[in-house]
Amino acid sequence: MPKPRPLHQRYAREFWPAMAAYVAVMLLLWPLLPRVHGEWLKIALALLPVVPVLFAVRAMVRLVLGSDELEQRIHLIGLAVAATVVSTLSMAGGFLAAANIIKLDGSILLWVWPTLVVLYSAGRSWASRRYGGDGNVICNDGFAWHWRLLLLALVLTAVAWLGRNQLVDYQLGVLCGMSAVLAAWGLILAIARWRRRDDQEAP
Amino acid sequence: MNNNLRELRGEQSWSQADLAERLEVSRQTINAIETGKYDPSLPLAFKIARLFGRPIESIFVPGEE
Repeated sequence: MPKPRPLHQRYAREFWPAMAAYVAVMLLLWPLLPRVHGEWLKIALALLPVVPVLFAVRAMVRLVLGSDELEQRIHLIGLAVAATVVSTLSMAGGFLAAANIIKLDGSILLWVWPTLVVLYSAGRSWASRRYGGDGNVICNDGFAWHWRLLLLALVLTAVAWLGRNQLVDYQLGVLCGMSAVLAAWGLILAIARWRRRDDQEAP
Repeated sequence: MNNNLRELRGEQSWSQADLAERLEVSRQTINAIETGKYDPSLPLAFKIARLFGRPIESIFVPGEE
């Protein structure tokens, strides 16, 4: 297994806690919005998910700045693909809305960032393969898969436990079920890895 | 542009990862240069030449136009 790059290890350390915080804020605090009456508190709570997203963006910027010249070119191609598709879709949607053909709610803006990230990843993957890479766009080779799955399972369990009084049974069931599946998957991968390691170390 | 980076690396018995570490770039970048999929910048080309103790034109040669 190739040695993890310190750059990717740092990225994993910075990106995943930010995303875990984002999930926790969206599932636990954002649903409280209708119950909040103070105007400033409402604004603060509505904008709260932006804070962990800014930390995730910081992690991405530091990843790009620490990348070598070919990796930076691949990032640029990914960003170009994402910017082109999202801006074209926005323009098309804007024209259709202005012509009263479709109705667009302001909350559609929430989809801009996730769409950019998904298209950026797809663009990077495509560009990486063109340069003989493996299309790994998550840049988490410093963070083994079983740890990622177990961490995600832990976050979902924590969210389910913390939100047990405000989530409905269906939401609690989904969170617990996902958590159990991810934890089981992580454990299977961890056991398989330990067994492989034992086999390699055996004389 | 063509290059003989793979041969030079082989003479030193370095893996792509070893060379990447010495040049402070990713292994993918070394692989892309060796396979001719990517031409390095001038600073990186000079760094490669310095590492192998050879003139830059003995490592990188212009390809057919």
